[in-house]
Amino acid sequence: MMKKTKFKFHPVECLMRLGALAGIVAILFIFAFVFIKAWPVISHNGLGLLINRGFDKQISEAFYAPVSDPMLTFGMAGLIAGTLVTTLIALIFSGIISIGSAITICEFAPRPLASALIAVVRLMASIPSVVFGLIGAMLVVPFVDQFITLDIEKVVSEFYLTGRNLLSASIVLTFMIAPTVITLSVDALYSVPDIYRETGYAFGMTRFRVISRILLPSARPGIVAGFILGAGRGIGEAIAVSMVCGGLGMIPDLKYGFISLLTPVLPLSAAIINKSEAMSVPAVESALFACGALLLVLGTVFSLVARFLVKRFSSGGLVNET
Amino acid sequence: MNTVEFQNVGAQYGDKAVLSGIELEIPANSIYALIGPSGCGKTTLLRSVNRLNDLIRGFILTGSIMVDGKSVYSLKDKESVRILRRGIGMIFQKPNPLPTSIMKNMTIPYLEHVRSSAKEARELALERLKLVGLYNEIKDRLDAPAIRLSGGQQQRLCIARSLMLPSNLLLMDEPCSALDPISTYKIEEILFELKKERTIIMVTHNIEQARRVSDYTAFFYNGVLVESGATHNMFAHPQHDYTQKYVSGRMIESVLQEVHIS
Repeated sequence: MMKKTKFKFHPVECLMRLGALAGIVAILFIFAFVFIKAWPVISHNGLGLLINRGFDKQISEAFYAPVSDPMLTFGMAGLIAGTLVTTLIALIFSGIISIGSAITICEFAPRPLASALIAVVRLMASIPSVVFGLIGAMLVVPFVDQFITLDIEKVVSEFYLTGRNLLSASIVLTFMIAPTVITLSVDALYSVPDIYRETGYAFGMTRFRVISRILLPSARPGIVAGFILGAGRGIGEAIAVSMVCGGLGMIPDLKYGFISLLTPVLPLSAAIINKSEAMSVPAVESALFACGALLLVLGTVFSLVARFLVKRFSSGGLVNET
Repeated sequence: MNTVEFQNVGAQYGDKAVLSGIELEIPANSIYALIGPSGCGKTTLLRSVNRLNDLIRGFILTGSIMVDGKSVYSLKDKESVRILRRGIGMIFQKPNPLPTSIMKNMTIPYLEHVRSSAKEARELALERLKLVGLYNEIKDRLDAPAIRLSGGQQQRLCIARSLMLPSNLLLMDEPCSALDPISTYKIEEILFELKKERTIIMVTHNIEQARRVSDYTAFFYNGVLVESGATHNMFAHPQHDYTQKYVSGRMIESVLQEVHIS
């Protein structure tokens, strides 16, 4: 039998437990607060909130609705689509950039250059997002704007096209996500034991094959973790995206191919910023809190799915193309 | 064939010389044990045969190493080095299965270099697993992660994997140093089987193992080859005082300090 230890008061331990508890309580309160504030809109619309469109119009209607008869009907399908599509495209772009950079840093660059590159990447991660937004608005938006021709405008006549659209938002988001993905991929590649490299070379594999067949698959759990953190940032990023996204809650119509990338979008997080001037009206306030609630749910679902995926991926190991 | 010849081989990492004046001839279809205390250059010599030391910055080799009469270090382009490596199996000190399933571990090197179907690769893999006596132990979990196998099984898997390519020369760098006596015994049994068609060069710290399995032994100290020859001869009548002390386990560092790279 184990001897029962006498309770002893450890001030430091208590303080740490209190800190941990405070964190959990704070998260619960955030969830509760956001959902209480969003409740009028959520209860009024039910599932329609996720399915219906027309957020832009509804906001202005709610803004001008008489106080005695507030307008509570909102549909956020466009915003959800905006969030998901911008994040997905940004993840694809930054995936290509990041894995390439990580391989360059770990396998090709000489030591001094590699550490310089890592320093630059870390610095990029600490640039305030509004600066990304500013650069996006000044450089990316005019760049994307040149793709818009009269022909394209003829095809998509329902709205006025500018350089502020899905493509710009995704490009800006790409460079915000990339540093996270690069950093984690570099760490993962560095932590692949040297013996795996030697194993590959001893088989007579080329450097490229060693990287693609052995190093990348071995580093995959770390790289996937980078993507998860990057996606989290992509979903939640507000200010920079709101500066370049166009501010219209459209759902990109894939039948237009490339042109669909030129649709103005309004992700959930950007919507909160974009429409916050109208927050003095309770219905609008509640609608924006509903955006926040959706973001929280989206983030939670995403991190649960990601955890499941990491488990699947890390047990799988190398893939064989046969 | 499958002979290896070291002609006046010297090696250095940067300014630090680790081997000098090595003259050694490895006959075909034999097991050649390289013994000696840690840091005497055995592993460097072994890893020079398939030019794996090229990966280490600052490594310089002088003299020449001939495999089947062809000089390994005169190969200029990378592709011929890769072809050389494909023909030489390498077993490392620590079992090195890749983080994937047992079967994929077996088929990766094969499918990498041989144009063939997955089915053929699988059949050959099963055959090789039987050869190392692993098949019966793992036949119902071929798709399980290789790292779940025991250390001895992992090492036998690595041996089987090195046999997937037509390699007639096997380099073994202390293949049993991380294993228990039973696993060691199993691997030694495999070595006898493999010797029939292949040449094996094995670095070992286990003098008894060298005595048990090898046909020839070379004793290294401080980067020079002290003595080499048929194992039974060398263990029964060591020519050199140092060899005699080492093989009988009575080597004292201070006594041997005077042997240095000339």
